[in-house]
Amino acid sequence: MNGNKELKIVLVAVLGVAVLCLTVAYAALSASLKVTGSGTVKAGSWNVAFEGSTITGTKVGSANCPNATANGSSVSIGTGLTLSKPGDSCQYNLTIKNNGDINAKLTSITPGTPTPSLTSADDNTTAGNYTEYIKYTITYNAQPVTNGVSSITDLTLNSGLSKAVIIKLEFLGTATTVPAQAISIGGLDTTFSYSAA
Amino acid sequence: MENKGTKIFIIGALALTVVCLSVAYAVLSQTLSVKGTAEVEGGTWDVHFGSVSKTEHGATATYNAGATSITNMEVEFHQPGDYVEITIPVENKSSFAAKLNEVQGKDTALSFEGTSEDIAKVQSDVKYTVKYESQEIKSDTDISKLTGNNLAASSGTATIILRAEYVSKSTVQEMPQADVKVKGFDRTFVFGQA
Repeated sequence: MNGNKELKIVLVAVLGVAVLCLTVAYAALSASLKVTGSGTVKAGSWNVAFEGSTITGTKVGSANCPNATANGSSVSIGTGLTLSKPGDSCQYNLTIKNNGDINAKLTSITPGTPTPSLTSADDNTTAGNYTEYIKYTITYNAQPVTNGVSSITDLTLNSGLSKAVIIKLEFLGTATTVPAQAISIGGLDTTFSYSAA
Repeated sequence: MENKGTKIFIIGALALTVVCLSVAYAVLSQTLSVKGTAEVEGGTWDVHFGSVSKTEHGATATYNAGATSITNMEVEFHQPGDYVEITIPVENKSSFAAKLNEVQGKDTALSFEGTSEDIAKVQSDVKYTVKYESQEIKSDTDISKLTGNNLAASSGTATIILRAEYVSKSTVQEMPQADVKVKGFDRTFVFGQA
C-alpha cells in the first residue's frame, strides 16, 4: 500500500518536471530583432559666394590692372583698367565657394561681351575696329567658358567646396594698329548662377 | 486423549495447508512492467541580424549594429532629395525553420520635435519605409501573408530594408530655421518557430 502510494508520488513529480521542462523550452523559441533610432532635418543654410575681399589683378605688359573688390555675391573691378598696347592684359583669379550646408550646382554662366566705345568723338578712331583685338576670356574650374554652362563638365559645388574662376581681358598681340584715343570697353559683366543640387 | 492429539495434528496440518496455500497463492502473482527510455533531441535556436550595410545619398546615417539589435541609428537630412537606405540581412541558423510573426512599431507614425513653424515646413516631406523581402510593412500589413515569411532551418535568410528620405518636390520647399528632430523609426521583428 505504502509502496504504491510512494510510487504514485514519484510518478506525479516526474511528470510535473517533464511538463515544466517542455513548457520552458517552447517559450524560449522566439527571437526579437530590434532596430531603434531617429532622424534630424538640419537647419538649412544657403550661401554660395565669392571668397575674399580684395583680389589683386595680374598685369602683362604695361596694362594697369586695379584691384577688384569682392563682397560675397559680386566682384567689382576698380576703375582705371587700361590696356595700352597689343599684348597687354589684366587677369583676375577668383574663388567661388559653397559656405552653406546645401549642395549647389551651377545652372548658368552669362559671360560678358566686350563692347568698345569711344570715350570722345574722334573721326580718326572707330571703336568697332578694335573689337577683334579685344579678347575677354572666362575660365571656370580650368575649363574655358566657350558656350555658357554647356562648356562645363562638372557643375556641382557641394557644401564646403570651391571652384576657381579666371577673368582675363587682353589687347591681342596680333593687333596691327592702336587707337588714337582711349576706347572704353564695356559689357564685361559676367554672371554665375547656382541652385540647390 | 487420542482425539486431542488428532485435533492438534489436524489443526497443524490445516495450518500448514493454509500456509502452503497462502504461499502458493502469493507466488501466483506476477508483476508485469513496461520499461523503456525517451529523449528530447538537442537543437539550436538562433535567428539574428547579418552584416548591415547602408547607401547614403545626401543624408548620412550612423548606428551600432549587433546580432539582435541595431541601436542608436541616427539619420541626418540636409536638403530635400536626401535619403539613406539601410540593408539588414536576417539569418536563421536554428535547427528549426523560423517565421516572422510580428513587426512591432509598424503602427507608429512619425513625430517631430522643433518649432511649430519648422515642423510645418518639413513634416509632410520626411518619409520612412520598411520593407521585408521587398514588401513594404505598413500599419495594415498582414504579416502572415508576406512571401518569404518562412526561413528554412540552418540556412534561411531574408532581407529588411529601411529607407529614410527627405522628399524633394517640384514646388518651393522652405528649409527649417533650426534642426527638426524626427522620431518613429523603431521597429522590432519577432520571429518564432515555423
